[in-house]
Amino acid sequence: MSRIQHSKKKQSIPGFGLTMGLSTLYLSLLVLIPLSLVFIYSARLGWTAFWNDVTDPRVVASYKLSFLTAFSAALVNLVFGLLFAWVLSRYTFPLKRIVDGLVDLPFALPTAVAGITLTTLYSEKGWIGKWLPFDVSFTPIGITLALIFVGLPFVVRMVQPVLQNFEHEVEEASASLGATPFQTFRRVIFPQLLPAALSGFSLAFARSLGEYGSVVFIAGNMPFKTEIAPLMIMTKLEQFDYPAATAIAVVMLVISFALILLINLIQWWSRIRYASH
Amino acid sequence: MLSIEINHVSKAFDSFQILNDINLTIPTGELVALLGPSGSGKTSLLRIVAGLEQPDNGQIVFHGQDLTNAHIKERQVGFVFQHYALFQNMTVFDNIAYGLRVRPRKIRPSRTEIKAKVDKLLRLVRLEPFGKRYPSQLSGGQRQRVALARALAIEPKILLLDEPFGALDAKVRKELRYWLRELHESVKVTSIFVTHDQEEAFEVADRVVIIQNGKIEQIGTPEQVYNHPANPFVYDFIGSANKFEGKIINGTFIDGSFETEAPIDPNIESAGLGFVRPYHFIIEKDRSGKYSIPVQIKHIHAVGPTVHLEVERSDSHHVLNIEVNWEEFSLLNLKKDQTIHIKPKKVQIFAV
Repeated sequence: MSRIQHSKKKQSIPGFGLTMGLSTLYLSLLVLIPLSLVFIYSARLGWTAFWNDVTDPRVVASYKLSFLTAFSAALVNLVFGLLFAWVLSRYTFPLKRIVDGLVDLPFALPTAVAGITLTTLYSEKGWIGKWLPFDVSFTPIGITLALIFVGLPFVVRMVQPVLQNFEHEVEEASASLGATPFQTFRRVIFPQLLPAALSGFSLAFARSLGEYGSVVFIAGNMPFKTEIAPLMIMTKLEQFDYPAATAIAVVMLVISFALILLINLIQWWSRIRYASH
Repeated sequence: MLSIEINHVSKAFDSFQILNDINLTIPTGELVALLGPSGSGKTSLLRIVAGLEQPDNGQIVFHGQDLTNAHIKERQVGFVFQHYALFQNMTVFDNIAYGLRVRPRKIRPSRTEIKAKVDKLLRLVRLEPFGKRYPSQLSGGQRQRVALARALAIEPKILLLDEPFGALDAKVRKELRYWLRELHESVKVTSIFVTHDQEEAFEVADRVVIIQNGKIEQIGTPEQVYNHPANPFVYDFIGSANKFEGKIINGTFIDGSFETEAPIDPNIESAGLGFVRPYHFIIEKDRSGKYSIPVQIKHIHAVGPTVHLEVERSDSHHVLNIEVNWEEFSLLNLKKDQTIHIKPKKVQIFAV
């Protein structure tokens, strides 16, 4: 009796081995090896010195400030990024293309330029700052402002394509079934935007955590008040205290990784809960 | 009682007139097909009835109530889209329940009532085991049935379907056609559906409305429209046809060497158009009187029970399409390049 041979499953484009290999190499050279070096460096300190370095009250204050401002900035960008993406993908208005291009500008502009400009504008006597009843420059609000600027494009650019590909008929279907515009948004549109919006949020958050250039100018860098964690690292480096700098970096890395993982889990959950399979 | 009255509806987009003074009334419980080529305005008319678009002029009346300016939400219409427009983020069950769940609390049915209703609709569209699936896990035909169940859940006064089977393959189309007919028999909701497929319109609808260039060309039952097309456009549109261009003199239509009686006032003398369906020809080997046309066989497509012949008229060299059944074809023993005589059994003459 002849046996039926099972044909090997072949994909139309070969090369899982090749592409996966290249990706791994790339990731190793650029991310994994440099990051593991951070751990190796800080390990030279020994446990006690490491602990003393990372629990120094001034450093702890900088972690808190960094995570709080980055989180607030990402949250603001989530809300306004959704709004922006909505306007850009749903309506036509004069100079729309230029406005659309402006969204990417925070990526292109050297962050120091952004920092100096924002500091000048929002200082006590600046064009905008003088109208505000509270201080912006040299306070945590100023730091958040700089981080909002830097993280602006992420949510917009993640959500925009989803909104653009959204079938208009689906909204019409919802209206024909008696839903109000708000119900249509909440029950139909928003759940389908959520995964993209969360991706944008986590990118903006991650970017803000590491941001240095634009923040140092507007922060004022007062110990315990407006020192961000990347600045603490720079300070240690300037004192040639490399192990301490890497120790702070390790803590930043671990917490960031944990938080981003958490956001990705929420995103994964919302994807299975709401989006198509 | 009349369910839907469309009175003098016109609509233009920029300078292009999409709909031109449309008048149509639809009695309660009837299933009407809007049939027309693409760009004829049939979908625009449906969307105006639904309230998805506004007419420039005219009036839309449902059950005696003028709803011309009412929002789609207030019209209680069930609308089925060509591309389903299902909510991708919801299961089949949630899709169908949507219209009930978005109601204001006062008139919203209870959870158990919603469940019972959705289960009933799932049975009606034969999708009981699929309630927990997502739209992306269903085939095209199943998705369209979900869309229909979702539209029926709100107990619409009127059901509107925009090319509901347009995105499906031929076999599924046919199945769903019969199924829609059956469904309409059992639900009896006044329905309008748009299609460009004349076969679909004739099989499903109680009445067919033929639209072209924003105007109604003919309204009638499928039999009326098919057997008595009102004008050359309708004749040509509802089935394949051979066209003869000639003139009408003394009650006779003359095109080259071909003549036939024209059932038109003999005092009228005008240009005329004659139409003959491909299967309305008698094939003869020898000429038998002035009503037959000499032709040469150019192609023979002998696949299936019907044989298609492409023949060229010996006088005007126009090409005609003829269909004969297999038995007749083999008896006649026809060959390519052979000259034969064809006699139309039924000619439809229009004075133009």
